[in-house]
Amino acid sequence: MKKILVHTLVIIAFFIIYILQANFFNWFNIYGVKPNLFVVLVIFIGLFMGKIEAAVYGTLIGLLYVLLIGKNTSANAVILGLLGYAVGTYRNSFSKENRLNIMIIIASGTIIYEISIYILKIIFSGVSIQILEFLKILSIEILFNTILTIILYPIVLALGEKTDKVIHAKKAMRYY
Amino acid sequence: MNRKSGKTGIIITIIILIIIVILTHANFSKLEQLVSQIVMPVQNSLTYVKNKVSNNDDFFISLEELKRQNSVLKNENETLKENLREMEILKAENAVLAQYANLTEEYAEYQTVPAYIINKDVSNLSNIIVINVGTKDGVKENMTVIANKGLVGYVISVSENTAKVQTILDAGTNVSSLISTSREGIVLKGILGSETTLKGMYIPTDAVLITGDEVETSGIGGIYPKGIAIGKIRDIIETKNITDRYIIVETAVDFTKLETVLVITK
Repeated sequence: MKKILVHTLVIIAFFIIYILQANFFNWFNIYGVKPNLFVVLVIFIGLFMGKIEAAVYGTLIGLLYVLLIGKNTSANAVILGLLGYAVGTYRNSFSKENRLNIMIIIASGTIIYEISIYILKIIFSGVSIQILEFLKILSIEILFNTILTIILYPIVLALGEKTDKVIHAKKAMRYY
Repeated sequence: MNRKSGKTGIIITIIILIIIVILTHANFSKLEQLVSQIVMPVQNSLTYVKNKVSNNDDFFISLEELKRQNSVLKNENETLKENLREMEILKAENAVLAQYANLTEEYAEYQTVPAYIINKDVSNLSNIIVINVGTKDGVKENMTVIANKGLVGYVISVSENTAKVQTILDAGTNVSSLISTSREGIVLKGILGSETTLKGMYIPTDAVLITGDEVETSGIGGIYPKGIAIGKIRDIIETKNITDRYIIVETAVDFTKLETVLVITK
């Protein structure tokens, strides 16, 4: 029952993020650059729920994004899924209570995601190589994502710890 | 430890300073209020007595009248404000309808379907919009989308009620174009992160470029019909190698305020 609630919350979070990205951040942006809260969401899922959940949600979020607004490509789904899996794999290698750790992970995740998407766009969608413009977007996006993480961190940490307990309750019992 | 207590000290100092400033302001106004509360009734009574003595109470009568008039005017003002709000709504609706009408008139040679933009891209690396027309309105993939001032993009996918349009601002879009005065052919590409400009490339070496020249679709490529306005040359960027020179074109359409478009169906 609690698990269903956790999964419902993740789905609600996706739609809230989608609405924010499509409306609010169209005017609340820095030099026209929006944050990428989908990446932040997948990283948090990886950190607090685990690699399998993050991979599944990452893929689903990527597919939903493509269905709602993106071009017919599964690149978003694959990269978000892999990112979630990678974060989930190393979730116990660092302290989640340390805000700086989370900020570094969010910044790294944003870099990996955006660079991968850009490279795939160059290869498959005929996007021209515009390194300076891309670096400008990337640096602003990293800054934006990190600032939003600082603001959201206390709420996410509280919710995340509860989620962690719910998702991993059975596994913990098994060890004893 | 010292650094921590130092930071705490600074924060406490700032808080104390803010509290002092707030309290000082509050005390002054409270003191002023207190004095006024004590003095004003006395002053009013004295003035009333003085007016009575001199049979000069017209002031109070006119004061009552002024109060009544003030109340009437306030009500009137509220009604007018409400009317103004309604007018603003009607004006906005009218502007959208006029935009539709102008669009259809301007591109009378084409068979078109009007549409509203219902969603904008959530990513920084692409520029796609969603419009409220689909297959049931006769919209198909690769159809050209225009606005009142020029080219918007083309349909990349369609569902029954909606269609996704890749705008010319998308870094993956290439538009075969002509410079309207010199009739030289160039290719326009979207610039990452730019909402107002395009990059014009593959300019013939002997082409004469003038800032302000208009750029329109060439009709080559099979998607965009010929002669649709795209924008004006804003900058000409000369490079060491003349074949690498490029132009920056300011789009005719203001994509930041774009609300209505037309899909060219024939």
